[in-house]
Amino acid sequence: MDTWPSALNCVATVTRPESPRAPPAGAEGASAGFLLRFRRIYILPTRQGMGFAGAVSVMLLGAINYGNALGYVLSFMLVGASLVSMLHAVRNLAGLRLANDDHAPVFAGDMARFVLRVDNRGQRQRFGLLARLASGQGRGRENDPVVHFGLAADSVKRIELQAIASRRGWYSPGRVVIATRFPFGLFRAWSRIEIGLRCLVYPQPAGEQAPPEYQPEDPGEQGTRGKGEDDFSGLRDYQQGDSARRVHWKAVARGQGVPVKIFSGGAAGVTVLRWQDVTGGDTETRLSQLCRWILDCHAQGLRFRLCLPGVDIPADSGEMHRRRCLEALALYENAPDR
Amino acid sequence: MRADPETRHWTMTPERTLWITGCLALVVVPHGLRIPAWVLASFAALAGWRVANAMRGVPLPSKWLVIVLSATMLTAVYAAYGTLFGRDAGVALLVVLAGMKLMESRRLRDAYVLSALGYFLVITNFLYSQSILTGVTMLAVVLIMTATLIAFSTDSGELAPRARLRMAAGMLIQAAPIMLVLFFLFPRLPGPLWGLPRDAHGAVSGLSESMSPGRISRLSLSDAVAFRVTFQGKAPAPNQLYWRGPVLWHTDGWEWTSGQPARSWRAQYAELRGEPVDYTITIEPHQQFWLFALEVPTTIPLGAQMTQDFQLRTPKPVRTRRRYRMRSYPQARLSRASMEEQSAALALPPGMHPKARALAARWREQLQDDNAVVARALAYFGQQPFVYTLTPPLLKNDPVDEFLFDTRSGFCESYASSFAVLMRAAGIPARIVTGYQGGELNPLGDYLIVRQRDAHAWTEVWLDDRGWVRVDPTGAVAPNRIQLGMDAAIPPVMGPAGLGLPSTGPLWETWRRWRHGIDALKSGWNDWVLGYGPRRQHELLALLGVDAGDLRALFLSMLAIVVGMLGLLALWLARRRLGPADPIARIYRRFCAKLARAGVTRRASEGPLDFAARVVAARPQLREPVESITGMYVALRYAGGDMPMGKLKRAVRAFRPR
Repeated sequence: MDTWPSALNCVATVTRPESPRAPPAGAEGASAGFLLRFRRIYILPTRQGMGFAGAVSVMLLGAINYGNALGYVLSFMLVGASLVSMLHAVRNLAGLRLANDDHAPVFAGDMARFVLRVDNRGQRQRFGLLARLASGQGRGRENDPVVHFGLAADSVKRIELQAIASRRGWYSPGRVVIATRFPFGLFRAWSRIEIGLRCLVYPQPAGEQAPPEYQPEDPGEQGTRGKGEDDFSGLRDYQQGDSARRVHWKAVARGQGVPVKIFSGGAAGVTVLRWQDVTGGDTETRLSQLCRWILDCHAQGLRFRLCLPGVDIPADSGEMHRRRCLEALALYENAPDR
Repeated sequence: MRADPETRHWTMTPERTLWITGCLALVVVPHGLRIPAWVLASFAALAGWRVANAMRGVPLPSKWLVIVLSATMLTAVYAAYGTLFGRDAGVALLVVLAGMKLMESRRLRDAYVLSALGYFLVITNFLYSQSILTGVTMLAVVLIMTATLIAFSTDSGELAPRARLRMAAGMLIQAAPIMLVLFFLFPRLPGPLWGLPRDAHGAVSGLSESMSPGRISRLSLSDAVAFRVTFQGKAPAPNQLYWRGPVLWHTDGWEWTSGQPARSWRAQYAELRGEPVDYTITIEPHQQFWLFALEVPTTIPLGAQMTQDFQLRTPKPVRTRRRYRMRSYPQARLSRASMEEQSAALALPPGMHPKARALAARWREQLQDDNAVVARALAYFGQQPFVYTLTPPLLKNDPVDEFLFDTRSGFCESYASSFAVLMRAAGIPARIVTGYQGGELNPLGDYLIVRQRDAHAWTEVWLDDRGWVRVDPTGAVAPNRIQLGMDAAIPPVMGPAGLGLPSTGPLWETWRRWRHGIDALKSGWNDWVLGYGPRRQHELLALLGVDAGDLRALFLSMLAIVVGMLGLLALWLARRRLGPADPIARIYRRFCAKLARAGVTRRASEGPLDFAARVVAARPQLREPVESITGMYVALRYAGGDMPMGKLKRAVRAFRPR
């Protein structure tokens, strides 16, 4: 029943207070964040709250029937405490600032990680908070990961929310729900906030077609080396998207992590990855194959050029180039922005 | 039911288990003597099992065992009480349910069911006792239960137990004004909504409508309060404090009962003389059909009736504490008696009390005047060696003859009944009045406390020229009883005297003062908490200019006030920091405030290091203290260092920016 694998992404990541060095780099505009105001916070009784209300009603009926003064006192005390707890529930959320940090692009089918920065300024500790992505219309799907956390006075926490990025393109998981049942669990106060969570999803690398041959990039500048030469130049750690063929399996078997072989070859040559070189398949399949090629080429340190209908990225190599190419794939033909 | 993804992670941690089990134990313990021992024992065993599970990982019973156990225990409760409803069976049932529920509580829902059971058990305690002590104890329990609710809805480790208790106390204090408004304004309905179970009320206490030897002396052992009286003017002299209760006309030789005339509702007749006495009585529930009033009552409380012999009777037993205003004329004369009444007041059981009859006949022969006969009889009690005692020897055959001629020691009921028999035998109509005599003035609350030990019986004789005249033969034997009250005649068994200490002296006075203080508290509690019912609500609302009958207006105003209070509370909360204020941050704020006065204000988005850099840039002369303080603050706040806070505090105190 309650065997939900808790290891799965329900973890609040960095929980140490924000470094005192003011807003983190790279979060220029977002540094102020979204301030949760009272009017944006909704509150409704929980299932337990309804049950509690029923119990208090029965107690009040009993007090009336028996004419029991202390019965009245207790019932009204509980009514009062429940009402007061509503204020405290709302107050537990109000004044928080939420902002999103940059989100690394992912490949389709992988978990997209969204980092929500919850900033608790002021001298109040916050208790029993939870955050999750507001997917769907209702309270969330059964398997929605929920992150539970609390915040010390004047502190910041980074909450990692995850969702499976199923399709390439821009992925907006929608709004974030931040909720609390504090203090008594009789009411749930919550807010759904649009803070512009967005993450770029590359096509899923797939396909077994052989990459195109190297080509002399420019006859005039042809290098001295022969083409097709693949020189093993070293090992580095496995990165997402690396081809399984390049994994140094022997080292893996020796328990030395997952090294990947890097080849330096054809420094003077260039691989042209063309849309039309992919044989058969629909757009997504082709993009997946191109994605695989880009990753392979990048892994080998090759210079490559990407030619898509309407897009031509000149030959280059390196991290920036890889990213440019993958972005082009992700956004090819106005991938539906979700 | 679909599991809520937001609460799915919730588990019954050992800490939560200990808290809720402790709460339940705290509410079950006061019931300890009221429930069968096996119910208590099984609860203790189940609670222990659950605690062992939480602490040591002892496995909980299987679902089937729980079902079988529950069924067995429910059957046993049914077998013990013959029902599952009603007060006593209900409590046993709740205790059993709480124990069983502990066995299978794993989820959030279960935890809240346990909490609800706990609150129910609190309220069942009030069905047995509504004393201040019970109230205070249960308030403490409610505080712990509320802290348990906080433990249910915060993650473990977020709040220490003490912080949780403090927070729960804060919430209850904030809830108190709302509770008070609801308590005083929520429409109070008279009488039960549905039939009360037979055991809803306590045992009959106080006087009953019959009198036999030993009945009243038993009451005299009780310190329980019968009623309290506040006089509007000056209180009458102690020997005038006769609180009239049931009037007894009929005797079978052993027992006196009310008889026919006592139930007569014909008009009462009294010649009003002297000054009236105005007073308010707050009577404790005694489950009987009458109220008490100072002789001679001339007003009738709402809902009561007055019989021809000036008893105040109620159509229903007095089941709740009640307050009523009265006016009495202690000097009034009851100057009428019908022939029927006179003959009823002369009847004697045939064949009983031969010696008493003979004595009375002798007096009658010697004396013509009825007044003289009465005086002669009182003189007899005064001259013969009569003893006033709570523990008279047992009377075997004829209680009147044996008392008058053999044992000569007895309590007020013996004196009153033998005096009435003597009068009747002498041809003078006589009846017995039961009630209370005297009372203890509480200087702290300026009111009179009448206790069960003040229960008394006296007689009234019909004298043609004076009407019904009160004659108290006990006064002839033990004048202190009437003049100074019961404590003077027979010291109370409680307190220092009960320990064999003298009933005078400083210790005794301290004891009395303490007792008065406690009683003043109790009296206020009774008036404003326990005795607050439809009648008092009516009075209070009339005072506020609200018609208690207009339920709609009452509800709306109640709602408006509560909403207004919540609004005020919200404003107050918004201005106030909840929770343990961070002392380090407070010191740092003081530092920032000093800088702000010196002209450098920290921006909301500015971190301490950035701020320090800006300050140093603007005021290079402050470089050293600002960097040192900021460094200490950052170390304390963010590095979690174990540096003592005092250094930072001193540095900030010494900091004088210019």
